[in-house]
Amino acid sequence: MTVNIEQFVGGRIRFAILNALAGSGKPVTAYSIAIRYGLDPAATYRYLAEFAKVGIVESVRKAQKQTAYRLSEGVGKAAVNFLQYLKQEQRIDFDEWMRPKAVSDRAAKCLKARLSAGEVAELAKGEALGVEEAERLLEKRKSGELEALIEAGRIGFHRTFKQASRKRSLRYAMIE
Amino acid sequence: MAKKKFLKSKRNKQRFTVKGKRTGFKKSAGLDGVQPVFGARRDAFASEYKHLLQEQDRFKRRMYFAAFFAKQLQKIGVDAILVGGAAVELYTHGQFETADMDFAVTDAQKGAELLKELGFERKDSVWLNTGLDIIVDVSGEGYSGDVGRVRLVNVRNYELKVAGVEDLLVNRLYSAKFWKSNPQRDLEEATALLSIFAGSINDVYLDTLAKKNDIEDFVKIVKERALK
Repeated sequence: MTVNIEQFVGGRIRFAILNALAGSGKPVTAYSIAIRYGLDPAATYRYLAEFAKVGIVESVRKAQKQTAYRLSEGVGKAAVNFLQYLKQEQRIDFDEWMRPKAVSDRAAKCLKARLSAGEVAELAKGEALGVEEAERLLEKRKSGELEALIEAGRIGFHRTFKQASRKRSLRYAMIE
Repeated sequence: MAKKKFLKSKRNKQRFTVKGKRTGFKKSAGLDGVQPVFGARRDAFASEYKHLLQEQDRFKRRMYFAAFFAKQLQKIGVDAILVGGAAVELYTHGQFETADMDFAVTDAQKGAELLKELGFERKDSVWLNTGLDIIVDVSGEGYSGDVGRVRLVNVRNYELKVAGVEDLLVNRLYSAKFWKSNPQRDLEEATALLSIFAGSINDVYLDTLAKKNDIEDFVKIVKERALK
């Protein structure tokens, strides 16, 4: 049986509005939501007012007498997370995931996530673990982690060594 | 039909047969260290192994294997979830490489038996296949995260279950704050995950877990860095 999650909030438009608010980090106006998601502006405004009445969204007065909306801290965010949880497309297609454009976008984000030299130095200043604390934490470590690391190092070394010796023999052959 | 044709070819016959019996791979076939110990599933793995060997990209090869392994486990009634560093590697498309592939399985004994059948050798507490350059660790302690947040990845014709992003994030940040074995990498991985999945992360769940694990400060730092 397929359950239409959008019906939980009374339809597609209401669901789209809540998603729009969840995806926006700052308050947004009804008009900008409607334009961005191709919704009817009057309906968008009406539904936002409904949500405000029941406390799912909060209105904020902006400059030029505009009213913007955001999800309320408790009820609003919880409601949206619940709906997203039900609706979420948890499935990832590996081939899609590996498309060059998607890969380069993610690589850029990963690059941005790298810590700067200053941040690394700041981290290094952190206090070292005491023996007791280290032992307590080590108890939770899985036994295979270190072995895996050693084996990976061994394989990597073996491969590099093989490549190097292949290059060297090629060089000798050329000299001869 | 294609499989029959494949096994009929002279080279493959030599590879997969010993004295007329189909047994799997011979060590002499040039597959470093692979032992011919396949059981009933040998044919499926023979064909899959060929694909895996042809795949030059280490990241893809590992993910193809992970999906295949999960499928084989599913056939014998064992549920498997890819967790830890390998899950982060998948989500970040190999930007953060890891040595081994950790699986949380419902039956570690069956998982180990299958790995043996698939030509893996036990080395201390991990399973190793030098030919494929894959190290696997199966844990039967169960999945510590929320099963409802596990993501399904379609790899070829297989379905791979991968640990939820929120759970991985918390795991990394906990490690950065308390383990301190490699806080730089943990923070970088968490930031990358948060920035890649910014649109689909459940904030309430993340905040609850952060509070429970006493890592709210680290979550805040990473959120600031990811949204910068």
